[in-house]
Amino acid sequence: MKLFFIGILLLTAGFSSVHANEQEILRLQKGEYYYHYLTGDFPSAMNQLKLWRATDEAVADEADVMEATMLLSLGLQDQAQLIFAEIQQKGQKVSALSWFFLTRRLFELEQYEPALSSLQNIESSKLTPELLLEAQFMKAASLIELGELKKALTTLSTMPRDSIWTGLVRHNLILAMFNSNSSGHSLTVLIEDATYYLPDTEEGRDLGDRIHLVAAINYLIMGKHRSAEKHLKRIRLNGPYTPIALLQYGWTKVEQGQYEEALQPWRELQTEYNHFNPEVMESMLGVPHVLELMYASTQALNVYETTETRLGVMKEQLMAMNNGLADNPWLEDWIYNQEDQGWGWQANIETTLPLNETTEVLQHLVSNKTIVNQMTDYRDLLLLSNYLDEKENSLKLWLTLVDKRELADKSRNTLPVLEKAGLKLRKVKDELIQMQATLDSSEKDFFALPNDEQAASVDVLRRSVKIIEDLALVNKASRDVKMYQHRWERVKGVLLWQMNEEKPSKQWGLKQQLVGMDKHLKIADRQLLETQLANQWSPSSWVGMKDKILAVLSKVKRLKASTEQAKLETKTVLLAESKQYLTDQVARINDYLAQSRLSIARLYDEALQRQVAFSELNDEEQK
Amino acid sequence: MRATYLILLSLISAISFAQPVQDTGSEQKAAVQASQLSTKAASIKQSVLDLNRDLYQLEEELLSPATTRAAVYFSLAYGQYFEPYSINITVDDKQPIQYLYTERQISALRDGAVQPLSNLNLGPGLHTIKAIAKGVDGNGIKRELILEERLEKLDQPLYIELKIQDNKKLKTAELLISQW
Repeated sequence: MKLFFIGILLLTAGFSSVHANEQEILRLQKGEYYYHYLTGDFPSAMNQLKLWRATDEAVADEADVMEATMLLSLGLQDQAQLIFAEIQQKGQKVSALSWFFLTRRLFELEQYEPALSSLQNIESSKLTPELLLEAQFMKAASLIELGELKKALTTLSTMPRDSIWTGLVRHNLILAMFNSNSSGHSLTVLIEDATYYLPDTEEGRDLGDRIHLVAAINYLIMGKHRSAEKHLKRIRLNGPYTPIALLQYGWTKVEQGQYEEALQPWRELQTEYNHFNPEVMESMLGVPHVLELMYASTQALNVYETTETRLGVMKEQLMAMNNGLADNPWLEDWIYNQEDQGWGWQANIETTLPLNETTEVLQHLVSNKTIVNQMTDYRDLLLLSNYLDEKENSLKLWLTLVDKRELADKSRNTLPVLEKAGLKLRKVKDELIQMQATLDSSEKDFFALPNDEQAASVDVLRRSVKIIEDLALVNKASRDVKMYQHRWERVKGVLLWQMNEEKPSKQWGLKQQLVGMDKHLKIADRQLLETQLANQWSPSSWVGMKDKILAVLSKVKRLKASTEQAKLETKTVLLAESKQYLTDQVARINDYLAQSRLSIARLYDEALQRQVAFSELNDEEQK
Repeated sequence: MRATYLILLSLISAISFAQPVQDTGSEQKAAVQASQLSTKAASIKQSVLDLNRDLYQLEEELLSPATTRAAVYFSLAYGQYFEPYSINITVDDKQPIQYLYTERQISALRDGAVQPLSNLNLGPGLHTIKAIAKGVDGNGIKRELILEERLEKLDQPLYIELKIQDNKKLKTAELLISQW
């Protein structure tokens, strides 16, 4: 009975130790997932997550949430939303951060209602202050988009005054109020607040300019030119909104009849900015128009003619660009110039195109969100295609390596070597046993453990016995054999005494040597065993690997083909859209050209009419 | 002359009125096409993720088969008394592993992440691991935490965790090792 209990106890202890080990390994795998996730290596985190959830069913719930967050991070929001919906149905507990990421993605996709319902799941206290502000912005902005301005104002009142997020909410609110034709004191106060409380950062200054521009354009539409001018004057001269501000400032001045003052910002615009910029093009026609208003017909005519020539050159340039666009690497240049070469939603993408003749025209194309998304998709596909190429090559190299491993393993022929080593070891062990026996018997043997000299002496003594015996047999009266016997016994006694004196130290020395040898033998024994094990393990470096590699290789090839196809389709669409954009630009220039030519014709016509009228008048006067 | 001007003007107006109608149709078509392509790209991304996992497992098996695999992990518990800059590890005075940490990685380790430092190939039997973690203590003074330990590799994968842990009583940090 006691034995049974002891057995049970030992079994339980063994089981709990194995369980504890598994838990520790699981902790390491979980920690590894967090490491990849927190350092932004999402594909590795995904690998880890899949390996981790394969190990234990109990962690599946937590892994669900992590996987959904991961998918969101990689821009796969549809797959992520499916998992989130399942999580909600099951009533699983999901971290505030996961809900936040989902909300952010939904907001980016302009899905405001789902974004609001996702926001409701966020426990505010679990977010960092910065993320909490962003969440509040998303809430207020979604409400504005859904027309719930009062609720948006309530949210705004809970936000700190000087945050960039608060500024963004105010900006959206101003836009919504202008769109709903709201005006009056509250709007003016809101604009003042929005521009006054912005943080003193580049982002804050850009937002300030944008708010002033929005206000100015809307005031211009309403006919409030002085108010528009006030806001336009407050826009910086080196910001992203400078070109449009300069153009609108000119028009404000024109509307107020201050023609000369309208010309200066437009000249500035034409000197400082790219001539394909829509604002610059508009100002090119604006200048002669103002000259006409100033009754400077000759100057207006000259400017129209110059503009016509310039527009003609620009049109030729655009058409040439459009024809060669398919072979132009502007898109690839943009992709390879990105600092972040990772793919997915969280990749830090720079939308400014690297400056060259093509991109100075196409830069405005990048202001279209759909185009940017397509460009990002194309970029991701290109990066994935490169990744698959790389993997295909490395898998082929692995195949060669596995072949080499197999060949080396088969030609190694280690068994005879190991058997020989085993035999040698056994021989040495036998010798050790013999030596141990010698040591054990040395206690009883008087002549045990002799050194070379002593062994020679013992040998002489032995031989002397025979001689003395022979002498005794041929004994003669004249020969005293007893004397020899006594002498032999004396010598033997002295030798025995010497050997006996030295025996303990010799025994001690031998014992030490035997212990040392035994230690070396054990090490050699262990080494032989480990070598035998390594020999047994070595096939695991190639057995079955070839099939696995070939399976993955075929998967890579299939995926590469579909990636190439999708890449090609996306590029075709992007190319078509770019060509369309250039065609639209040509149409726009044609429009401007037509207007210039009409104006030129009109001005010549008017001059002719005036000349005819003047000559008729002269004729009449002469008559 | 004026007649020509009027004809041209009306032509331009006609073109500019016709343009938006044509644009709306092509824009819708382009939007549908863009959405289809985006879905296709998302599906490819998903497949690449799956493939990535297969490749990861295969490479692990090829590089270090289970029989010889030894994974070295590094973690930081609390990290109040020591902030690592780098870690150097040798096994049997060979296979040196050196790693320099970035601020982001330290922050991840402080948040409970465990760094997969390296996968080693170890033969069966006993091995000696030596680790030196260099960094600064709570007072900003340079310090080194040193550890030397014997490990035994059997035929199952070996998991080794090097952990820097605060010793609150002594107000210092120590480098510890665990193996499974």
